[in-house]
Amino acid sequence: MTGLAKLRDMGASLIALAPIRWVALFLVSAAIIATASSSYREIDKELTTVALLRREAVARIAATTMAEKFGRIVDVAISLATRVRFRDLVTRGKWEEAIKIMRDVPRDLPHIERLFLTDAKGTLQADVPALPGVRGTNFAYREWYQGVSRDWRPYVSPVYTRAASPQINVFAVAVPVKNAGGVAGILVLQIRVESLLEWINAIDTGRQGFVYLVDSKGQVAFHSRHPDRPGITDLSGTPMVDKLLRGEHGVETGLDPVENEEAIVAYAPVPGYGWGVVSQQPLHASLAFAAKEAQLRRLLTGYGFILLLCVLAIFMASRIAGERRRAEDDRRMKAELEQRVIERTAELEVANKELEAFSYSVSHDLRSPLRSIDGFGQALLEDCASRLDDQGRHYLNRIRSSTQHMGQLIDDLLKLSRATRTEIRREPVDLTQLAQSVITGLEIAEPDRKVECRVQASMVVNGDPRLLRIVLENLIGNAWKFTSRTAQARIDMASFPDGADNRAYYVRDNGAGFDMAYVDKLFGVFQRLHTPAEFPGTGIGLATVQRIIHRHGGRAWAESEGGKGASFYFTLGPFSRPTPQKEQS
Amino acid sequence: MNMNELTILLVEDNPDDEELTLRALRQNNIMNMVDVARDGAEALDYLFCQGAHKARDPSQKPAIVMLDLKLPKIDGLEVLRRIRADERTRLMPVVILTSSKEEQDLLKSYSLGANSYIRKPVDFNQFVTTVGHLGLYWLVLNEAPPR
Repeated sequence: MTGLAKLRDMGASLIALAPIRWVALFLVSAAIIATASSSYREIDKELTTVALLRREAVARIAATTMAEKFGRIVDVAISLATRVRFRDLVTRGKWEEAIKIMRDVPRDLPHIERLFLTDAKGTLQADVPALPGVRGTNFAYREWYQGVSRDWRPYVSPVYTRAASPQINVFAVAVPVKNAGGVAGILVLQIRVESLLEWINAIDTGRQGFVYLVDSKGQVAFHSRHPDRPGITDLSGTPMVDKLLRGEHGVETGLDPVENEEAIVAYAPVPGYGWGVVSQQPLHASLAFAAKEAQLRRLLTGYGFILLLCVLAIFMASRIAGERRRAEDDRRMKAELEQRVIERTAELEVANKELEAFSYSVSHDLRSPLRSIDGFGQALLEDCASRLDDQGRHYLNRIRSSTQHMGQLIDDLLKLSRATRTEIRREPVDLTQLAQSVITGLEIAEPDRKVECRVQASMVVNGDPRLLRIVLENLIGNAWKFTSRTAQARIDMASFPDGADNRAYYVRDNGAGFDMAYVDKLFGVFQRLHTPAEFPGTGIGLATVQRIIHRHGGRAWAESEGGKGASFYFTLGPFSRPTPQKEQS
Repeated sequence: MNMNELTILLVEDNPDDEELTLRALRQNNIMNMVDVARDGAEALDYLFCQGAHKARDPSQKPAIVMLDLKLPKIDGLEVLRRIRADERTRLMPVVILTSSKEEQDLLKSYSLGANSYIRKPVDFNQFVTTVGHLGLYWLVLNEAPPR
């Protein structure tokens, strides 16, 4: 076996192992799933980034907006505080007059709830609109005072609840009123937290999105989803607010414990004021997320299809491999069968050779001693006749006739064996001519016999002429023999249609016939239905006939009515019709 | 040349057959000298005057060789082949005298150039007749090839 064939066989046996299919399926599936999950992650990350960036942008816009608004209020406060006359009045302690200048400010700027003046120590000196009983109260504890007094720069305070009624949530913008000598007082604008509402509402926070403001103390200054929530929620200490207060910005996703939902949370500091903006949107409401989900669904569907196709392909491939394997098996089996046929044929040829050798041996070696017996018997009769009496001569004659019978037996056996082993060579044979030649031979051998022989004209068949001659020699010879005691002996040979396109042939005589009870024995070797004294014979002739007929693919049978003759029939099989002879010039 | 001076070479290993053949020849009044070789090798020695027959006169060629096919040492067909292959014996009449009626033997014998093929009958009377015909034909009727 060559290496290639070995490899092929190995491959075949590998394919034959069903698990290889599953291993392949597993590997391909794993590869596809890996690719799918990596691109899933990639796209997920990308689209999440988009969604987060969008949210962060909202937070930044909100923060910028807030910074701008705060800046404007601070600008307003500064422009008020720097009015020359106002500064003058404050410096001179003329608080009432100074505040009067501001009287119209809350009306013009509706966010401003109140506006008051304190001295540099934080003691309220005048307010608009005026509240009873607060003048002279020191507010140095308030954040706005601590914020502004730190470095005497404008300051936006955290949210706080107003001490006086109505106790609403406000924050303060405090600016120092400075003169040449230093800080003369502080102008404080108290601003309603509600005013943040309209500022924030101007920002598009996205579907179900909301924004809340965290002041510099980490308290929720304003919540766009819950604008009316009373009290002040302190969020300082939470990690995100800590980051915000440190001036960091960012975006995260996670469970919002307050809203109890998965949300995208972006945060950005309001630059310059210590505040921060948090922009939040439930995950499910994010259009970008929805788009992402859809995209990922499409992706997964696509990969699912690919996986399905691969499974299908592997299935088909294994089917094809199976087919090929079966074809290969068939081919191999056929080759084996052919090999076996070749071997059997060779064995048969050997057996045939042996049989031939045996026949040869029989033909040659068995006959020699017979010839010796006969020859010396004859010599005895001739040379020693005077010393033999009639009895002795009788015995010698018996010996000689036996040897001759045995010679005939040997010859007939050889004919039978030849009928069995010679190859059939089909050619057109004129049975009519053949029969007539056999009859002529019989007439020459026994010229005293008077037998009326009739042979149907032009019976031509396709068969082996030598073997068919043996058939007719036997059948006509039998007819000749068994009519030897019949007065007006007659032998007919003719044919009749047998089936669609075949013919049966028969040899009929009016001789001794046989008992139909023994018809089964008729064609057996050494079977005789008559004693040698009645009719001589070896019992091999009809066996030979039958074997030749069988070898032609035909069949032989016989009919008889005891004492009224016998008919022997035969057909010559499906190839017996002679092919039309080509006209030869 | 007297007909009786012609020699017959009988190649026959079976002493019975040898004796019966000689008897048949005598019964047919064929009184020619009959030399007998008992196997194929001896037959060739005789014909080519070699071995045990070294002393034989090579000019004395048998008028006819009666050759059995089944022989010890060298079989009849091989003897025939060598006879036909040698210039000295190429034209010598060879009659195959055997028990075999096998088609193969017939075919091979004629292919190798046998002049005649006779199957020895079991019936001795027939055998005598056959041998008579044989002697009459080859020794009397047939014109031998020029020597």
